[in-house]
Amino acid sequence: MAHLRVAIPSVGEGGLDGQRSGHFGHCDVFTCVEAIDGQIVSVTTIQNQEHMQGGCMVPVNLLAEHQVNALIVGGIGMRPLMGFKQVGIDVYHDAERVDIRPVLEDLLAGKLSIISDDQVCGGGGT
Amino acid sequence: MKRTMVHILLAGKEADYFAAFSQQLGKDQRLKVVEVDSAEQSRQIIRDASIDVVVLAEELRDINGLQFVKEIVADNPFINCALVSPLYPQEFHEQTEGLGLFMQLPAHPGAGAAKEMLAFLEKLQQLDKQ
Repeated sequence: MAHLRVAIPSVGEGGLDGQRSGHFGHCDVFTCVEAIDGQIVSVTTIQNQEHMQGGCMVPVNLLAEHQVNALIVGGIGMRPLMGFKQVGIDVYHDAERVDIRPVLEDLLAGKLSIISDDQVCGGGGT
Repeated sequence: MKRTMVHILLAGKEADYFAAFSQQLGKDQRLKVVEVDSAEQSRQIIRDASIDVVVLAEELRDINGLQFVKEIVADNPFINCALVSPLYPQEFHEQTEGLGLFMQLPAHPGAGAAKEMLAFLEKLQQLDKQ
C-alpha cells in the first residue's frame, strides 16, 4: 500500500483548487495531500513559518514534523534540497504549472520526476 | 530548541586570521570554538564532532571557501555556514544563492563581526539567549 503525504507550497489559503507558490520557503501555506494507492484521502494545510537568511532548514524541519514524505517545487536551493533528502522527503519538480490540482494528479499518476541536483536554483530557493 | 553548547569551526589558511574573532567568541561560555587551516582537517572534525556552525575564510590551505561551502551544504545541510567575502552584498548573494549561508563576513573579521554573528545565531535560535 503506497501511502503518500505530499506538500505543495501554495499562495493564500492553498487547497486542491489553489495555486502554487514559486518561492517554496516563503510560501503562505503548504497544501498537504494524503493519498493511499494514488487515491486522495485528505487535504489539509500547514501554515508556513517565517525564517531569516540562513534559516533554510525551518521548512525542512516543519514538513518533517508533519510526516510529509513528498514535496513538489517549482524551484529550490541546494541546501534545503539536501536537507529534504536527509530527512527522507522526496522532492519533485514542475516549474511550469501554477495550479495545484494538475500537478498533484501527475504526481499521483507517477508522471512527475524527482528533481536532480543540477536543477537547483542559484538561490532564492528558500 | 534548548542548546547547552554550540560548536563552531573556524577555517582559514592564514595563521591567526580569526584571532580577534575567535577571542571574542571565546568569551561566551555557550560556545566551543575550534580553529583549523584546511578542508581536510575540517572534514575530520565535522565527522567526529557535532559541529553546528562553520565559518570559512576566503581561502583554506587546500580549497577556497566558497567551494568548501558547497561541499558542506551537500554533505551536511544542517550545519549553518558563514563565509568571509569582499564582494558587494548583491554579488555575494548571487554567488551563494541557494547555499543558505546565514552571513557574509568582512575580511579579517574582528570582535565586532563576532558579536554580530552571535546576534544572528540567536535570531536563528541556534543559540539561546541567557
